[in-house]
Amino acid sequence: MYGIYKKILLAVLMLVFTANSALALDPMMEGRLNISGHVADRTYTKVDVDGKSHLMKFENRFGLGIEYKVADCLVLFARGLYYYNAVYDLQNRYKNTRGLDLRQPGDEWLREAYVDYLSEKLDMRLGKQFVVWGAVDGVKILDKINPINYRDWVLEDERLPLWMWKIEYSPMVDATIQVLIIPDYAPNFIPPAGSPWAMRSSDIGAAGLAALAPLGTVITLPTDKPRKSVENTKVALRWLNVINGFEYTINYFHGYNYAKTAYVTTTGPSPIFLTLDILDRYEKLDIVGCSFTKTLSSSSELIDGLTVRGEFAHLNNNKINFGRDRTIMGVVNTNDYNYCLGLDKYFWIKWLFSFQFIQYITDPRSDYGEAAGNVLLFGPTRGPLDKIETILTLKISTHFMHQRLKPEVLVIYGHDNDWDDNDWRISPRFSFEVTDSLKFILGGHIFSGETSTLNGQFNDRDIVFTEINYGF
Amino acid sequence: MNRLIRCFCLTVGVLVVGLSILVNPWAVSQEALPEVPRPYAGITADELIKMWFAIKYTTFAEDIQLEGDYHLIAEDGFRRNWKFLRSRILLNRESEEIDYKDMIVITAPSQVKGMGILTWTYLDPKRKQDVWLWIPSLKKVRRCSPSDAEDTFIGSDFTNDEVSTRRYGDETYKLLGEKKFPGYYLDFTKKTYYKDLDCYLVEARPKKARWYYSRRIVWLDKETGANIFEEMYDQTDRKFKTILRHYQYYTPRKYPIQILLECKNLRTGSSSTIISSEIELDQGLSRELFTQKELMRSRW
Repeated sequence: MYGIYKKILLAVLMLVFTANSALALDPMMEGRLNISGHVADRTYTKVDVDGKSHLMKFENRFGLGIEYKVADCLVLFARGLYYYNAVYDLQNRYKNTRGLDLRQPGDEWLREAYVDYLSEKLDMRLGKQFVVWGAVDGVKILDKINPINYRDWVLEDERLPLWMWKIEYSPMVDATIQVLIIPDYAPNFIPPAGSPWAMRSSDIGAAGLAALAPLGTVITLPTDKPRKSVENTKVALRWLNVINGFEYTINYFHGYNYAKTAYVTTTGPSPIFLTLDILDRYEKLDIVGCSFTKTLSSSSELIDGLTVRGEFAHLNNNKINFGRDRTIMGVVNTNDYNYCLGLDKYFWIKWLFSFQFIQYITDPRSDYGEAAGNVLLFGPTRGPLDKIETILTLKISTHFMHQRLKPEVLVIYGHDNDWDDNDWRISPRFSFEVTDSLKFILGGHIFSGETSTLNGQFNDRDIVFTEINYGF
Repeated sequence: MNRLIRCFCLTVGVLVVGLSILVNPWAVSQEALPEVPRPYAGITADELIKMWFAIKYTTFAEDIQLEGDYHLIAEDGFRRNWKFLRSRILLNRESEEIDYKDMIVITAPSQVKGMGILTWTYLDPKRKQDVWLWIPSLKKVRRCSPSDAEDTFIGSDFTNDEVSTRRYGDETYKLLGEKKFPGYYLDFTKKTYYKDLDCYLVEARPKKARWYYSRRIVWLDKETGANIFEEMYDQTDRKFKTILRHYQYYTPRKYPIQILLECKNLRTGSSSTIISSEIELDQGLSRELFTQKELMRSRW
């Protein structure tokens, strides 16, 4: 049923665009039709001191956006993105994983397609779109509206679009109620084992299945994810208000988790006659949270101009796996409390320092055999997850040559209560504006830490990258 | 009958509640706009500069909207051309806190197209501006720390101080006398501006001990009080920067509105020009146009 609505909306959008394409040639239409796009190349080279450096990404992309103003209050917009990552054809090591969603965008080429209704008090957007919540950078605490495409770990904010209806109503100036009605669903895209950015959990899963296969173990891998239907519609609400420069939001999300929880059951007396059933289930999820931002003025030079940002989310009745490092033993319900505090301030005229303190607190609601040595498991790595995980981030950025040259460095450090995770990522980046339309970026990502940690799992994948981007 | 009355009361009640939500409770009737100030005989340097800041921030208008064209010619020949839409609403007559709100949306080139900057400036000169940035590629409104006043304004030769943060009272002012302006030839338009215009000359010295200039010599049009030209001197009293401002006068109240600004860096030879066109004044812009909801409308 839902698919029919999606097709009808897409057909209407295409019809309107097509019907208007001829009119667009009319000089009277000038200003109503707006087309813009880019072509870009992204190349990653894995750096290895042992001389095993190799190409990890060689992607050429083409993006095109079309905006058409039917009237001041009615706007149509669509944006497509096509890419081809040649590394899957150039590198034998990645050939087995060259699925459509890795090498080419597959069905996800249409990034946005929506109709906007705009008025002074009420804005509505209907169609395929992205919605981003939260006040912090790089970490997703409230930002849970769209699923994430993890095909490229270092690509910032690679979200998957969803069909939804967004309503923004302002009952008074500087206050907005946002309502999201999301019948669409897509899980996070997790790159398969053997692909350039495969996570440790994928590698462990694939290795385990490969080890069991010769023993004749019967393995079933069912998936239980919500159908795209009216009854599975997700709902999200956000109240935003700015009072005397203090901005706050109150957020609520009711829907499904985009990350899976694995339910493992085995039957049979020995590995030879074993039946292994691994059910990947996408559970219901409720999130309540809030965020705030405020720029401070003070006679103290250290505080004057300091911007404080904060975000908090409570995930009610979340379900995560427990077991031993690398091995899933079961599922436990948890209450999660995640928060972040961020500080931004310019020093020495043009050096922006942006610091964030983030904590993920996991509170199990029942016994999961901790006394027997079980630990909570961290989804991306299937390694031990501490009840309190702390991440510190620092980004320093500046500019030279009329802001043509913009260097920056991002440092992410993660630790647990015992300070033994020692999880690091250091990402320097230089962006250079060659012309108004042409930009060149050179950068790198250095990972360090235990393989069971967020960034440490990529400690054998330090890269140098370049990007050339031409906009038109 | 009772039922009819109850229905009527219920309908009226719903309408009243609905309307009270729909109607902006902060909206207040517009007070009469102040007179456009003009210089007079015996005017002091402080009064002249106050007048100039009123012109600079169009405080005698309710609101202003324009299309902007920013050109940079860097010392190495690099050229940048950005286009933008700018809206400003003056709230100082109805708010005890906010002086004005400003919205800039960049429309070209495509690398920065759609980027929006919302700035709230407060009446208290010690209070920092509130700045929100809409980054279309990230679909996110990001609260930003206000850039340092000494820092470059969007990579141009202007500083933020020169474009948006400098206020009356940040400097001390001294009237140097009256003089005819010798004229200024602008490469960009191939025109000479203001030759032999009668001007007041004011010297402005920053109150801050360490600042990027030691003094400015400001040329103010004797007839309108508009700052047409300024020369900036560094700590060794060497002239390092000039700024030309050209105006158009808008009827019926003869608002002087800056339509062309050129900043020349005499140390490096680079120059930045900002040209305003399609200027509309006092349209009765809604305060809703200066909110995050409006920022997020930008799609690119």
